[in-house]
This record gives sequence, C-alpha cells and structure tokens, in this order.
Amino acid sequence: MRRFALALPLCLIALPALPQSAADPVVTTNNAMTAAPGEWLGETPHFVLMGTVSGQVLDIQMPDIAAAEGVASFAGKREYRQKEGGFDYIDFEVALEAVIGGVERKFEVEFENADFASQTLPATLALDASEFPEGARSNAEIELEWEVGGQTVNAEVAGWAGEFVLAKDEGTPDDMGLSGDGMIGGFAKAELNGETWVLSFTVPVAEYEIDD
Amino acid sequence: MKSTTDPTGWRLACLMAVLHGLPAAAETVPETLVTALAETQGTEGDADDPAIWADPVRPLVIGTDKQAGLRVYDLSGSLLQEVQDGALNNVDLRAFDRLGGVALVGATKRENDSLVFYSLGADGRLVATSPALFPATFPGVVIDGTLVDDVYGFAMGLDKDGPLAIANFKTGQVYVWRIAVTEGQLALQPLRVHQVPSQPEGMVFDDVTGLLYVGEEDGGIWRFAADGAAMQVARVGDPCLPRDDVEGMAIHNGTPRHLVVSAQGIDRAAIFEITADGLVCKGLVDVAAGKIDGVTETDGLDLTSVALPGYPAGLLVMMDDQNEGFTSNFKLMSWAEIAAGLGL
Repeated sequence: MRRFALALPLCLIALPALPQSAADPVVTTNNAMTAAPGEWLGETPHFVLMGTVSGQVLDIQMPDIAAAEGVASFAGKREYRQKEGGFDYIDFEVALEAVIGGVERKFEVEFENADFASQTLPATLALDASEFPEGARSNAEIELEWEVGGQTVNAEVAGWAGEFVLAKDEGTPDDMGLSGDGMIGGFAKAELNGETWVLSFTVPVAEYEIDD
Repeated sequence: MKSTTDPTGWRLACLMAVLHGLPAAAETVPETLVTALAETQGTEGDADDPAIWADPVRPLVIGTDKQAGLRVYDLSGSLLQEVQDGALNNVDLRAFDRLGGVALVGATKRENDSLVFYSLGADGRLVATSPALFPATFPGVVIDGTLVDDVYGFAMGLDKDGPLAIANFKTGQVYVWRIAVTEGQLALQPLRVHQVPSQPEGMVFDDVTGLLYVGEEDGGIWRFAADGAAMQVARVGDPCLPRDDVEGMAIHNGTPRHLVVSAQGIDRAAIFEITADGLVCKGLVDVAAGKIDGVTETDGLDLTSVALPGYPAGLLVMMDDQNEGFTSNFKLMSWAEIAAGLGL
C-alpha cells in the first residue's frame, strides 16, 4: 500500500494521454434523488446505490426497475450450505446488469451470515469483515465490472463496516426447504478506508445454489 | 492490427496500479498490448476454458460453457456445434485415432465429479465416446466433501507410453490416468496422484519433457515429474504473477519454448520461458480493445505453435469475462504479434 501511495503522483504525471472515462462518475439518467436514501425504499423491485467504491463514484438511481432505462438483468441468488440434517442459508447476492452512460456494467452486492434463516425480519445486522458471521452481523462484498475506453474496471471489495437491514426475504421452499424464488429487500450503509456507499434494493430471486 | 509496446512500462504499470490497486512491481516487467483478431460468438452462460484443435485445414476452438457444456467454433468465431452436457469446467484434447475420430476431447463435469470424453471426427463434430463418463477419482477414493471434493481442472497429455488424462480437485489432488482402448471401449487406467497445497485449476502437460505444470490459484505454479518429484516454479507475488488467481496455462513449442499462464487478477497473460531449471518471467500480454473488445478477468486459455490461417506463428485463445451484450466468450490473438511485442 505504501509503494502504491508513492507511485501514484508519478502515475498522474505519466498518464496525461489516458482516457478519463474509466474514472468518470457512474450516473443513471433522470435521477430524482438529491441525497442518498436513509432507509429501505420498499417492496417495488429497485436498486439504488450511491457512494464510492474502489474510487468509482456511483449515483445509480433505479427506484423502479421496471421503469429504469438500460436494465439487461436484475436478479438475486440465495446460497445454502449443507449441514447435518439440513441447510444453512449463508449468502445471497444482488446482481444488476445495465447500460449506464452508454457502457455495459455489472454490479454484484453479496451479503453473508452464518444462517440468514435464523434472523427475525426486519433484522438489523452490523457489517463485519469476517466470513459468514454469527448472530446479528453480516459480511458485505461489492463487485463492479465494466470496460470503457479500453480500460477495465474490475473491483471486488469486501470488509465493509456499517449496517445492513434485511427487510424482506420471502420465497417458496422446495422439498429440501430451499428457495430459489421470491424477493429479497434491504438497506445498507457501508464504510471502508474513507469510502462510503448506501444501497437500497428489492430484488426478485431467480435461483439458489448449494455451496459444496 | 498493430502491436503497441510500452518499453518504459510506466503507462501500463500506472494504469494497473490505479485500476487494480497494485504496487508498482509490474513496471519492471516487459509488457505488450495486442488486440484480438477474432472472437467467438458470445454465450449468456459462462465461458471458461478453451482447447485448440490445430488442424491447418479445419482448425477449431472448443470451449466450455460452465452452465451448458461444450461449444465448437471455427477460427472466425462462428458457432459450429453445441454439446449440451451439463457443467463442464475445463477441456483439453490430443490427437487420437483409435475410436474412429481424429482426436479425443475430455472435460471435467462438476455436477457429478466426473470426466466426460468425446471423439472429434474428421468432419469437426464431437461425438460422445463409449463409455463417455468416468469417475474423476481412482477406485476406492471417496469424494467426501472435505478431504477430496469438487473436481475442477483438466488436461490431457502424451508421453512415451501414450495419452494421459489429468484432473484436479479443489482440495488439491491431481489424478493422472493412462488412456486406453479395450475392445473398442475407452478406458482409464489409474497412474499416479499429485497434491498441491490449495485449490488448483489450470494445468498443462508438457509432451516434450513429460513434466506436468499445475496452477495453484492463490499460490503459483508447480511442476511435477512422472516419478512424483515436485517443484514450485513460480509464486503469486512474482513479477509475472503479481496477483492471484493463476488460471489456464499452455505451452508454445518454439525456440525457446514458453509457458503462457492466465493471470486473472491483472487480466493478462504471463509469459515464461521454459528452462531446465524452471521458468523465467519474460513479460505480460494485455489484450486491449481494438476493433474487438479486450480481454478481462481471463480464466482459461490455450495456445498452439502450429501455423494456422491468419496465425503464422501460432494462436493464443483466452477467455473474456466481459464481452459485449453481457456475455462471455473467447478471444483469438496472433502469437507472432505477442512474440514481436515482447522480443521473444
């Protein structure tokens, strides 16, 4: 990290010819919110992500996915881990693929807990860097992927601190008790190394997988 | 398609540092920018690993789709055949005429920890062998969810006694079989087991030396001899592999010979010269956007030194995770351009 910090000023001098577009803020069109939400925005499928992740400034406002421009896919996935006599519900991810600012972009936000099924909703969980934390804690990881101007943005950042409210989590259990449908909704505010973001989402679940 | 080299390394080293948070170690490694000459049709599934059938008359790229099976392309990238056969992860092939075809193609099948084989016909079509499905472990080995679990990488080889099939597990075991044909039926005869400390995937068997290279995703590259002798020949953190994961690998049989390794964490191919003592880092290849988009988060790759139409010194094929239309696919690059860019 120290070497990186020392190298950066030299890089800024040496990079005048690079396109700036990879560093441009990622902003959806027709944004109506002037401030980040302070709570979950409700049952309507939505994805609102505002803040900074890995240097990328994000102002993504899709308060109604059905009405949002450029959405290619928006889906959630639950992940279960087998244990003796059943499964723990250890993880879910929210994945958005959308064209924003003329660029195809992928966003994935993943939350972990020792067993989300043990939570009583709405559940307020402290964001925690440990994997699959027990109790009222959750790990959060956010991933950004796109190419712009010949440059690649490919960030996976975990270890956030903050808070996650799991507001909604409903599905139809199959014969093993696992749900690959329904909806998950929640609100998170996170901080790490001076970067912060806020997320509100309600996502339709399209599948589940069993962690083997 | 012009190859742009960066002799100072500054521009790309800095770009890497900005985009990936890397230390400046890469600045000391020669790097070349190339562009893809062709790309395969994208899949909405999950492309992973390619294998090249280097027939100058009917060259093919056979790629896995981790959600669907195998896809067969010509060098223009057009899809010729889809084999819907489940979660096939890695694929490899060797020339093989004992089952009526011209090559034997094998893959790891994740959903039931097995190996699956196809015969490639002279018409370029894949047909399942008889039998087609084999357990990915030796007899008596139990896939128990802990000590041995989750078949992953796959390679084939050819030594003095014939063709080999090689599969690894996420738990680090590497199983090697002799491929045989008994009464017209494909058969696998257990030979040996190697072990790496943590999750492997990419592998390549060096048909010239009889050595097996195994990528340990977070650790580096191991080299195994047939007698089991193991040597770590590269480490994650080395100049050519500044970040994990180590993914696909293949060999270019020029003079000197080179091992090409997918360095997923920096979206590049790492080029090593193969020496008697091990590997020497020679540079990095960045497949940048040109008429075709660049390579990102590369996973599997394959390489041939056979001259093919449009690829006079050989062909490098790399998986691209971020292709147009939210798909993934394989990009095709000229080895001549890479060799010129790095002065190989």
